[in-house]
Amino acid sequence: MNVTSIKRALTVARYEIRYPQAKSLLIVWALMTIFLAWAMSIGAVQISSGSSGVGGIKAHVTSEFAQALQSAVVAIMIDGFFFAVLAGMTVPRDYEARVLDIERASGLSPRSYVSGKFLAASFWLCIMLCLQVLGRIFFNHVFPNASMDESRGPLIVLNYIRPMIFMVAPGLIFNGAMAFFLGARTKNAVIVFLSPVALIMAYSFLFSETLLNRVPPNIRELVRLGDPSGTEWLSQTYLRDDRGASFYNTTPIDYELPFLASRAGLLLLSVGLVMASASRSMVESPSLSRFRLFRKRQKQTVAIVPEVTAEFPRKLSASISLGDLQMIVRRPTWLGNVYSVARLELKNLMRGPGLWLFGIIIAFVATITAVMEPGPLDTTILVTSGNFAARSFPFVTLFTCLLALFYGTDAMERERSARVESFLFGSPIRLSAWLVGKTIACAAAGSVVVASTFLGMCIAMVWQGQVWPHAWPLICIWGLLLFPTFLFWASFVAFARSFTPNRSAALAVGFGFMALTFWLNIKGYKNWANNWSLIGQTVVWSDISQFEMQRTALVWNRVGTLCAAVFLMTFASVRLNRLEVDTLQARSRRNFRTIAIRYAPALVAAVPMLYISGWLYLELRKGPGGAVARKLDKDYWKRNVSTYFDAKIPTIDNVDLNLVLQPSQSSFHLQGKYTVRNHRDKPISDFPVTIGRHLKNVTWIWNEKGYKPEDRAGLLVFKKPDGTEIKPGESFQLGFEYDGTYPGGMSKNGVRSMEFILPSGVVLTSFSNSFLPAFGFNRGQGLDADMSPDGRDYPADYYKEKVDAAYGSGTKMKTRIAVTVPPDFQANSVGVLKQVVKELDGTRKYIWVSDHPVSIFNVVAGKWTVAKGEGVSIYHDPRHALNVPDMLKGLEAARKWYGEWFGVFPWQELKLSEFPGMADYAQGFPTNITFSESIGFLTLNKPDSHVAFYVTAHEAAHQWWGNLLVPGAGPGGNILSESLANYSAILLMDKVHGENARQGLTKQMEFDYVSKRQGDDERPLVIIDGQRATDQSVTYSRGGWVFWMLSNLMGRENLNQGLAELIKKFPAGSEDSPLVEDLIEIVRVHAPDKPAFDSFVNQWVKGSVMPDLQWEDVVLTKTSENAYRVSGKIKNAGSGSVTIAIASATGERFPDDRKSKQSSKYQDLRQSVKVEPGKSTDFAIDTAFKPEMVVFDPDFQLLLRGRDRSEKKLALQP
Amino acid sequence: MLKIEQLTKIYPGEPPVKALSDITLEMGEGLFGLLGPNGAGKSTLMKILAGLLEPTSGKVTLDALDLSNPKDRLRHYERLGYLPQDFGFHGHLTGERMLSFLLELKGVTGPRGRKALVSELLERVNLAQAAKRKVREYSGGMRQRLGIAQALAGDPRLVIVDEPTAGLDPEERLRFYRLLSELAVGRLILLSTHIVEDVATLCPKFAVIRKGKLVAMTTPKIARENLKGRIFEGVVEQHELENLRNKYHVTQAMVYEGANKVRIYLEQGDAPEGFESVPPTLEDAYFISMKNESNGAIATGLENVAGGVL
Repeated sequence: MNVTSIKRALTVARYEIRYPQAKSLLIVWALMTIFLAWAMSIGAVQISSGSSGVGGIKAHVTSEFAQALQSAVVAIMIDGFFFAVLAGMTVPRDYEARVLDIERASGLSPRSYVSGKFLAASFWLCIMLCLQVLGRIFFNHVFPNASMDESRGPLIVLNYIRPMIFMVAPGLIFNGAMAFFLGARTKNAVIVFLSPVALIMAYSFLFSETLLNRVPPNIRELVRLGDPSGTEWLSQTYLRDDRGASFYNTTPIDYELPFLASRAGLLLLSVGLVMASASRSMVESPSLSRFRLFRKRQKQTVAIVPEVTAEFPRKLSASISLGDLQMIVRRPTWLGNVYSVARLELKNLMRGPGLWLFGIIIAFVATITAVMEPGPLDTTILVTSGNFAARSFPFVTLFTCLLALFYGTDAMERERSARVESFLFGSPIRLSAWLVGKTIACAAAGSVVVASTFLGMCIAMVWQGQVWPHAWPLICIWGLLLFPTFLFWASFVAFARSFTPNRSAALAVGFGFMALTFWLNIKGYKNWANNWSLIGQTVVWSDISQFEMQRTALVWNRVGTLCAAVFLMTFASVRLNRLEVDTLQARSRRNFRTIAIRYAPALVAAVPMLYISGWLYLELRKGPGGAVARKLDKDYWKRNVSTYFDAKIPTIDNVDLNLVLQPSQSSFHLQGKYTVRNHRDKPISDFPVTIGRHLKNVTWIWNEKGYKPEDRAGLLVFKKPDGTEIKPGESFQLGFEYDGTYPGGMSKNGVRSMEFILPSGVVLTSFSNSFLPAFGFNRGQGLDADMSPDGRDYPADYYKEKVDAAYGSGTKMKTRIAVTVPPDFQANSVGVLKQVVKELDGTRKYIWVSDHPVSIFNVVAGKWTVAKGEGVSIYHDPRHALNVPDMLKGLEAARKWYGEWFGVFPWQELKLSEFPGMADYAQGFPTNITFSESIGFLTLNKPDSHVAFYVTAHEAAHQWWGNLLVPGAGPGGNILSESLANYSAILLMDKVHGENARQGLTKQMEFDYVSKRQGDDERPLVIIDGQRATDQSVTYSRGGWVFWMLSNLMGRENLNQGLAELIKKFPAGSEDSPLVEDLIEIVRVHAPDKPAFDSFVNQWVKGSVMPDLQWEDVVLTKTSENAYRVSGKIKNAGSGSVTIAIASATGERFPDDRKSKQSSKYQDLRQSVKVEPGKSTDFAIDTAFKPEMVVFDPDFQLLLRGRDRSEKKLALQP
Repeated sequence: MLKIEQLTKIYPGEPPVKALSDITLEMGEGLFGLLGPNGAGKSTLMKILAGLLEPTSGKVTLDALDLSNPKDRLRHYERLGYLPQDFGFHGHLTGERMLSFLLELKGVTGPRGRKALVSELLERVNLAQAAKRKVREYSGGMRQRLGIAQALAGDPRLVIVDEPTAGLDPEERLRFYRLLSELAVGRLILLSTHIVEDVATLCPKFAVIRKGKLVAMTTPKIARENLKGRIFEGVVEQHELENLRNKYHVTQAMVYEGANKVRIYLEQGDAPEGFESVPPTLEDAYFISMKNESNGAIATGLENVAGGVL
């Protein structure tokens, strides 16, 4: 480009900036920028670091890292889209306005033209980025939010500016350049709109952790540098392995040279794209014939049509009379017009390549997501039609809405841009028919998303090779549930277009509304009355129970959404006018009566919508999460917290229940009796009991006499009828009888529920007050989520006191539980089945009696088939038999080996019962384990992963760790339950499936822990109490690993012997329940090397060490004929003094038998070295074979960070 | 019968633009020409008559249908054939498909079905052989013909054609004139144009509109007869032209074979030397009316020829 061209480009840019065409888009962009600046200042996006405990160090929202992350998120979600639309639409808009010819005729070269246009768009990007920086500075430092005081650092302006320049801007410019290129080449608005979405999808797929974990390190490195948003670089370089809040708060980001080079590369690529947009044919109409696929056919068509002008003179003499045509005019019906418009519009939508390209991307992403997305317990989910349709529902909703938005705004504009509007509006078509036709076509365009996702699902199913598609779940979820959303959104687009001046403004309004919806969802303001998108926990598929939970709410929500669509469409029809209204007349007509008459149809259409929303709102108010219930809960908490928070309660020795279930009504009748005993050494004057508000007709009996407890705002306080205290050891009988419906009323937060009575399945437990009176004050009832107390600080010798059981009766409880169910149901509970009584009405009564004391119990019922093993059985839905053999094997092995290692299983039978997947969990009640269908039953259980076996082994281990031994209510209590269950599962995997399977399991646990670790938030196992964000992964994964490492240190038999002794010393029902320190004391006795044991405990149980191993200067040399030496250093960049095995190895250690290719024989030679934190240790291994690699911790015996670096390929040094 | 009463249209702005001012007209069956220069307000009037633009004041009725009444307006669309000045088509559709779509919207079909009717209509406008071609491949003239075809569909009571011959070659123009003449029986065809020749050829009656005001309504014959003996034509040198303009009412001046051929209007007195009386044309009448700047009242030409119609 010469000087004149540059000057011309600048002139174009100047005019484009001074007279922006997309003012509305810019206004909405600016408003959203300011809103997001505020949202970021209150912590919408934060670095996952620091401590969640009170007074702990917090990650600042003002640090450069936080700002970089926030900028990247805003760039991906907002700026990328708006900038792409702004830049991409410049050429199509000029094309539609037919000014391209004139501009070109003025001597402006295509390159000057595109440069000027893109420069102008980039100017607005700069303005918005500046606005973002100023907005964040304002909300963080000038007008700060008081709740974020602890998370705010001092003002450092560079923290805001540097990430914008070095990280975000180049990626945004690249996005914009891509949209600009597509817009200039295709002149198609929809392709422009789709381009940022497609790029975001591509990024989210390419840079997803799931995928990155499966690619080789060098590709990962490329991805790290190449991610246009910069988030992958930031994440992999700084955030993935937590470096602690103080690092993030004080250290500026070091933008390494390769990263800056990648940013420069993006900018160069952008310039290339903009320049490539310039073409001599820019003013020409884009045509499908440009695409190779269409070219041949097009040419043929043209070839057979003779030139019309050549025919003209002969035709001139022909008759031109119209009379003989006998034209018939019939006023077209409304539906006929709808059909005509919809058909034409649909053809138009389908012919664009954008829709199909978008469809292919969706299919691709859907496939990968289906195959790789982890399920409960980080297992791979088996793709079934139902669970895939439900899991992909938010994805499908989002993309159909985006498509409908893009196509809708474009479709409404089509007549104007094609200049057909005079013909259209000059015909007797009704505008409402035109609008509805367009809307239907746009909603139908959404079907491409559904079809693509379906294709993705089919590919995933073929990949997994286990199950095939079923139509019914897809019809239910993608049809009945999604269709109203489609229609609502397409109507909203028409509504938005009816009061906005142009396509860009309508697009901005639609995008803003969509963002607002997601924001409200995230903030928890969604409910059945307003959740038009059904995003949130509202769409859950269960093969067993299909939309039985909250069905009424769901149905009326959908009907309400359809009514809302009708209202929006009516409103839009009223607003739209084929008649170009006279402004002066309109002003004079602006009075209430005229407006009321005009909008009367819209008001009438609003009535059903308002009625349904109002009714749903009132039902929600009355429901369990509604305002009425919240008020009652608060009263409960306020009135009783000071008196009964730590109230001493008696224990239950005997439970006798007669439970009659009516699953079709979600109701029950319970008549029960507790034998209650004061097991404490002090008298109890009174004790509180909490019952559910869904219980009706409640009556109490104290020692066979009617009784009325004191009602303290829902907390029932029981005193002896004679007014005296309950003496130590004194027992009495407390009877109760009532009716109930569970869940009772309409929920606010979707359909997830841990316990329920549904027409196809029942789960009830003694943990909650779902069907039983729960002894004690419920500490969580009436407490706001943001008021949850920080973990209690316990004294160091707390474990030496008598510690109450963490849950359950705290005694050796006997149970007799009779459950009456309809004839097609079976009912399971704890103990053994003593009798099944067939009642006169056809119902069956299952009587379960505990054959060994228990401390907790449950009731589960369903329409099952039974698979029986040796002393074990699995009750499952007949359709879910796929993994049952492996699960049965797991149960049998657990019963046998755990019994051998930790003590004999004292009950007769071990059962596992499946329940509808309204929640993803499993619970190991004594003899009666409950599994959600999504755990184990619908897990992808490949021969090399044994996932179903693992989850079964874990839950079965709770028979020992949770039932035979009930952990104490104190610090580290849960370690004795969950960590030991995971440790047991590791051992069982090793025992049954061998070393390779065990390594796979420990690797998975290590990944789970390391990826979720936050150094500042983590507390040692000995004091962990479940209150902090990362406690779960520490308890399950780190805890399991710690015991696995301990077993390697002191010997597996020694540790297991200690654990068996622990159960013997603290059997369920003991007066004192154990904590981690009790375990340490008992196990230490069996440790052969006490100092090593103490050192291990100090580092891993009482401390939170995390080794981070790195290779240094590794060299392979040939020392003599057939003699090699690998030498180098290994550094521990993390914490902890650890001994690590290093193997010099060749061959494949665990060759895949299914592969025909013969792998070379594996051999290795090892050396153990001790590595101190922050230091390096030399190693040298001499081998008589040529090693291919050197590996640290080859047997997965040390929990560490940097596992992906553990293998280092070797090359012979001269 | 189309009746326009005191029609005024003002476009807001700084300053507001009065596109039509107090227009009153009545038109019966047949071809009616609306003549006026660019920006006179013709297209505004056409859009109002088509029911696509609301006037600021005034009333339009077609056979007792009041266009300000929404229900009447909808019935009006059923009787309307409209070819606007500026229009387009969905370029990706074939001519046949596009016309079929518009016929569907109008509810028009033929005794042998809509498809056959579309073919025949395309035949009438000489597009039969391009029926299968995409509209975006059509030339300007072909698009114009397709527009004409859709305007004729449904046997409309009122046909409004705004600058219809723009883009047509002379042959096509001729053919279109013939078509309009045939159609004019039993319906009103309103032809808006700035080409005087079109009106002279076709319209038994016409009106002239200038700066939003109706300045004349007459017939081409009367207009010409009233100028008989008052139009003189001669050839002058370039330097004499300015003098002539100052002295006489020059209606037309054109370069003809290297010389300036000038026509003047002379109400009384002698013609300049070398000028001879010639038969007046409608263009003479039109240009005389356009030249007069007085406020709506025409001192010469059409005012007189209109015989007091205004």
